[in-house]
Amino acid sequence: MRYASIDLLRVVAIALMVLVHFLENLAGVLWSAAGFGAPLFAFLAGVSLRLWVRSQEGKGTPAADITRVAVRRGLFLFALGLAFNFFVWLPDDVYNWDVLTMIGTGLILLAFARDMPAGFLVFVSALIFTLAPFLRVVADYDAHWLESYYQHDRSFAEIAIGYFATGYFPLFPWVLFPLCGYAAGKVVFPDPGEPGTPSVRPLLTWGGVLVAASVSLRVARPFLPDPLPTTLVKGWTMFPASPEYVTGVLGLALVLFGGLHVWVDRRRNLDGAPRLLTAARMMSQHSLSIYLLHHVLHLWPLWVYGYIVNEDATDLWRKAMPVEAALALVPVCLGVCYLVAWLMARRGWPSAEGVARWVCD
Amino acid sequence: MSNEAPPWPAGSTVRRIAFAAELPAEARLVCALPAPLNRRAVALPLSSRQAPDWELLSIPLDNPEDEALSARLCEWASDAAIPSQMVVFQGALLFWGVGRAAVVAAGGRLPALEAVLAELGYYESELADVERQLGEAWPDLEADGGPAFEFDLKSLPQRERMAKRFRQLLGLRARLTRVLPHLLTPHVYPPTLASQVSERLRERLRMRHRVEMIQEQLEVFERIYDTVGQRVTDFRANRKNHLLEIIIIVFLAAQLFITLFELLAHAKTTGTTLPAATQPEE
Repeated sequence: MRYASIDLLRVVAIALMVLVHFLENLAGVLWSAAGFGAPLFAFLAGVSLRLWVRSQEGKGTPAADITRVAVRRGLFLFALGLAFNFFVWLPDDVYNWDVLTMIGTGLILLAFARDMPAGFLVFVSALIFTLAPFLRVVADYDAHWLESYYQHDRSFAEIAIGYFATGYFPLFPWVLFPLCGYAAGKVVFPDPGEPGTPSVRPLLTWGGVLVAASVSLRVARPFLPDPLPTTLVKGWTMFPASPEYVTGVLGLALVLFGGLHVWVDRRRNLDGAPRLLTAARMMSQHSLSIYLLHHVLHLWPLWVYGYIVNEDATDLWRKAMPVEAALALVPVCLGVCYLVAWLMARRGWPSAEGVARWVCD
Repeated sequence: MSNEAPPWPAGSTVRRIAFAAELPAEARLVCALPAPLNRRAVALPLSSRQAPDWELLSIPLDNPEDEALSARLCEWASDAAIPSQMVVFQGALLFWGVGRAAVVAAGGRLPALEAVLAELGYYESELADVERQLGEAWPDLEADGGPAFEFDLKSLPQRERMAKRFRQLLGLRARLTRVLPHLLTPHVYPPTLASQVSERLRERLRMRHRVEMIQEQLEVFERIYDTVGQRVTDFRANRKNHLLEIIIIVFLAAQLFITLFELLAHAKTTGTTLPAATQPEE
C-alpha cells in the first residue's frame, strides 16, 4: 500500500536535494536550510523498508527470504553508490562515501534488526549519535575538510575512517536516519493484527523534543566551555553532521512524517487534488532514478566543459555560474526529472528501481 | 371473516419476563432466583419498552384437556425450526419452547408453576447462551492452536485478542458454575408439583447431558488457552532477557569498534606501526 504522505515527503526531499546540489556544485553556495533533503531521504528509506517488510510478512513470505531480499537491496545500493561515485564524481572520489552507500549499509543493518522493538533501534541511534562527535575528534575530521570538501588518501585506514566518520555521509551519525525511519514506521505501521489505530503522538512528541534540543544547543553553544564549541558542538553544519543539525532535521522529519500521515493519509485532506498525488507518487516511485539523473544532468556537462576549456574536469566546480542562474536551472531540472519519471512509469523506460527489483527480488 | 386468532380463555396472561438484578419500577416479581445467581425474574409492565428475556403464558383452567387449546398453545410456544415440548403432569399442561413457555393449570397452582418455569427459563437461557458462544468460538480456537504449540513474533500482535478470548472463556465458565448446582440438583423430598415439573422439564431439556458437553468443551478451550498464556509469558520474558543481552552486546561491540577505530586513526597518521602505548617499553 502506498501512502500519499510518504510520496509527498519524498518529493520535498528530491526538490531540496536538487536545490542544494545545484547551488553548491554550480555556484558554490551552501544554503543550510537545503540540508534537510538528504536526511529526509534516508529517513524515508527506513520508513519504506518498514512498509515493505510489513507487506511481505502480511503475504506470509518466509523471514529468511525477507532478510535475503533486504540484504540484496542494501548491497545493491552500496554497490550503486560506489559506481555512482566513480562515474559521476569521477574515479578519484570513488570512496567519498555518498548518501547511497550509507543508506545501503542502513538497509543491511535493518534487514537483521527489523524484528527488534522500535525502542531498541532508538537506543542504537542514540548510541551512534553520541559516538559520532568523539569519532570525528579521534579521526581529526577537520584535516580531511581543509577546502570545504572531503579529501583522503587511498589507504585502507583512510577509506575505513571516511566510511565511519569523516566522509560525506559517514555511518556515524548518518545511519541513524534510516534506523529512526524504520522505528517511526514501526510505530505508525505496526504488525498486522495489532488492535486499534496506532497513535502518531510519540512521533510528534519526540520530534518536538529533538527540535527543541537542537534550538537549545544552538542557543547554548556560545556559553559552552572550551573545547566543546570547537570540537563536539560545532553549530549548524551538515558536514560534519553536528549534534544541532542531526537533532533538528531528525525532529523535523518525525514531526512532518507524523503530521502528514494524519493530515493526508487518515483525514484525506488532499483527496481533492488527485493530480498532485499522482505526480508525487510518480516522482516518489522513481526517486532513486531521479537522484542519479539530476547528478548526471548538472555534473557531467560541468566536467566535460571544464575539461574542454582548461583540461581539468573539476575546474568549474562550484564556480560555473552565478547563484541566480543555478537557481533558475533548478525548476528546469525538476521538470526534466518529472518527464523522465513519467516516461518510466507510462512508457516503461528502464529505471534504477527496475534494475534494483530485477537484481534483488 | 376475520383471520385473527380467538382470544385466550378468560384470566389468561402473557407475562414478559426479564431477569434483572434489581426489581424495576412497576415490575412484578415472579420469583427470586436462588443464590448465587443474584437475579430476579420480573414481569415487565405493559408500558415497558424493555425487550423481555423470556415470555410466559399462564391460563387458569381446572380442566386443561382441550385439544383445540393444546394445539394453539403448541403453535404459540413453537419456534419456526424447533417444536415445543409438551408435558402433562398432575392436571397441569405445559408447553416449552425457545424463549417462551405456556402453562395451563388450576388457578391456585399457577403461581408456584409460574415461579418454577421462570427459574427454569433462566437456566435454559443461560445454558443456551453458553452453548451458542462456545459454538461460535470453535473457529477461533482452531486458529489459536498454532500459538499453543509454538508462540513466535508473528503471534505477538494476537496476544491481546487471545487474552480477550480467555477472559470470555472464564466468563462462560463462571456463568455455568453459577447455574450448575441448580441444574444438577437431586430430586427434592418431599416432592411438590413444582419440583416434579422442574425435574421433568430438566430431563426433557437434557440439561444434565448438555452440561457435561459444555464442560468437556470448556476443558478443551481452557487447556488450549492455558498453554497459549504460558507460551506468551515465556516468550515475553525470554524476549526481554534477549533484548538485555543484545544491548550488552551492542555496548561491547561499540567498545571494540572504538578501539579498532583508534587503531585505524593512529595507523593513518603513523603508517602501519602500532600505537606507542601497545609497543613494549625498551
